[in-house]
Amino acid sequence: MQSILADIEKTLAQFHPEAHCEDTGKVMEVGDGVARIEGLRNIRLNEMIDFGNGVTGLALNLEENSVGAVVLSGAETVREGQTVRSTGRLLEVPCGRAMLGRVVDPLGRPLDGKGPVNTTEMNPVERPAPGIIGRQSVSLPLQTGILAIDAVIPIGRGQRELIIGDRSTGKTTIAVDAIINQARLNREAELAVDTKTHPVFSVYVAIGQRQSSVAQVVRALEERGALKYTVVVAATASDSAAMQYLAPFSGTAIGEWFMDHGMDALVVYDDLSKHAVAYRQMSLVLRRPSGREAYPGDIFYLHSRLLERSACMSKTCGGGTLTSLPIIETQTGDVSAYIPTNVISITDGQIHLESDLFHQGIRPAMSIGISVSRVGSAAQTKAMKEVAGKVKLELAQYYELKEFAQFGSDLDAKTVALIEHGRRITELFKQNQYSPFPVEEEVVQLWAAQRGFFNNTPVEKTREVRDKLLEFIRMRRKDLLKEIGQQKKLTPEIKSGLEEVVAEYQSLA
Amino acid sequence: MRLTRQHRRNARLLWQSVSVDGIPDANRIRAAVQDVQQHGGRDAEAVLRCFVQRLEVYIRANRIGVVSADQLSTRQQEQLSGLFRGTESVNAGISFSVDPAVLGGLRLEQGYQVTDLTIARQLEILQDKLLGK
Repeated sequence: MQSILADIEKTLAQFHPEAHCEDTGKVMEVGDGVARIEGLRNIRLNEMIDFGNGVTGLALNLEENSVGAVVLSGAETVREGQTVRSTGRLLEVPCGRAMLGRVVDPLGRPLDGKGPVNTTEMNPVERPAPGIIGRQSVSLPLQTGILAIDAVIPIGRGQRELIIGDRSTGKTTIAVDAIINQARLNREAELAVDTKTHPVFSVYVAIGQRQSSVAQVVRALEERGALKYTVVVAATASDSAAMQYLAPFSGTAIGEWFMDHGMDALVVYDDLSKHAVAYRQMSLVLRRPSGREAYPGDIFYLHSRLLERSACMSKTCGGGTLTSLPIIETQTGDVSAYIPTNVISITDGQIHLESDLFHQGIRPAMSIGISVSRVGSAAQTKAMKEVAGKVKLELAQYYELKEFAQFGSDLDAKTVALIEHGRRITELFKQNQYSPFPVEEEVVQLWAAQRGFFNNTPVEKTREVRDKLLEFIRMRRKDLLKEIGQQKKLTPEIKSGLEEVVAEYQSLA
Repeated sequence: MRLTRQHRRNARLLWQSVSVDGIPDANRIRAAVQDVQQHGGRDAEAVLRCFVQRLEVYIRANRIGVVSADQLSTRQQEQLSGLFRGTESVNAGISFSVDPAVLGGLRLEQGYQVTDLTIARQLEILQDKLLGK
């Protein structure tokens, strides 16, 4: 109590009444979350407008005699003829470590009932992307813990990898799995007091989703101990289009704080299709000219300026990274629609999920042929490169031969072996939700598959045998797994150790 | 009558022709309006309507208003009017109004530029500082 009084006394003592010249305006019309304001002669683009009573807006259209502004929240309280003030500030969101573990709205206001966010650090929501000089090539892997992705479509820190697919094909699951795996790695590094490992902090941005879906994701993160390394920015379907438009930019601003401080961050935008729809709605209400599919002309620029903010900074610029996993929902697998093609061309690769594969029980339902990572093997450890180098080719051959084999013609032994190998790899790539693999276990699985360990196992039993083998290695030769994790390559000693332990397992099985 | 973009464009050109250094001249306005009425054809009315809208916006943006908590005396009003004499905005008129909510001091409004010297505004700023906004 005394300290509060002392603070008030101090503020009062420092306060000197001053004449403030303010730029004001008058609301001429308001509707659909958009206000048209006369006045505000000196306002800048994207400047915040104070509508009074805690209601804020964002100046988006600067016209000759009026300003078009979106009201961010509480639009129903804005009246015609009301006086508004320009604030002289661009829109900012709170940032910093205090944001971790919190669920906030795009303005950084807490939604989780855990009280105010204790941070004084702010980042502008809109900011130019880092320049060319400050960047370096992506070289460090971002382990998702999903075998199919880490082996075939590796993601590097600072990369932008699109997750694209129809509804209910497991897009969010992949992103959430990646977040959970980062949390697992962070936790392990903390327990081992490993200062060399760079923790990855995650930002999950929910755009236009059902509140129940967001609650499910938050619960999944919390139950797996990942929420304390994650910030959730939620603009749900019940929020205004303006809030949905702002959400990914706010998430990026929060992620950038980690990058600016030399740390690594991962931002998931779930999803940018709904973001484009929200922006289209806002633009139409602001009477901006519309283009293809009624999207405004700058929809490409909207997404490119957002995703260009992901970067891998050079050591001289702090060495931080910001990785993006944007999600796009397609309609009946049409990847050539307007927004999907835009985002495909902006990102450094895509993970394409197919409904057919999903219904066949292949989960993650990743289509290996269409999925690609343009950063590629630069973001893989040597160990993974060694065991996964041929997998993509083998799987491509398998899919081709599988079609051919359907005709029932006689196949030579080599073709049969290729098909059987492909079936087992496909089986190995099946993975349960929220159960990411450590990278060393991924390497062991693929190493065993390449050595023909699963060749005599019935296909449907492959995963069961794989789990037993991993359990056996965890119990008997944990040091080997540790060694693979530390060395990041398969030395002759590790290989002979693996040979021994696999032989031991086979003799016992 | 429907006002089209062309009408607005013509009104803007008319506005530019009657302005000297961005300030509209009363004599030029009279002459221009007469000219449009005589030679403007069937669109004259629509163009003039757009022109009037512009003029209204200009007047609103340049009107000088003084708000006080209590009625100012004639002498005080004259003194304040003297401060603005010589500025182009004086033609848009000076109005004096009373708003007890300002508590004390004066609020000077030149169009949408507001210089607030009222006690109410100072208290508002102080409140924001105390709440850390």
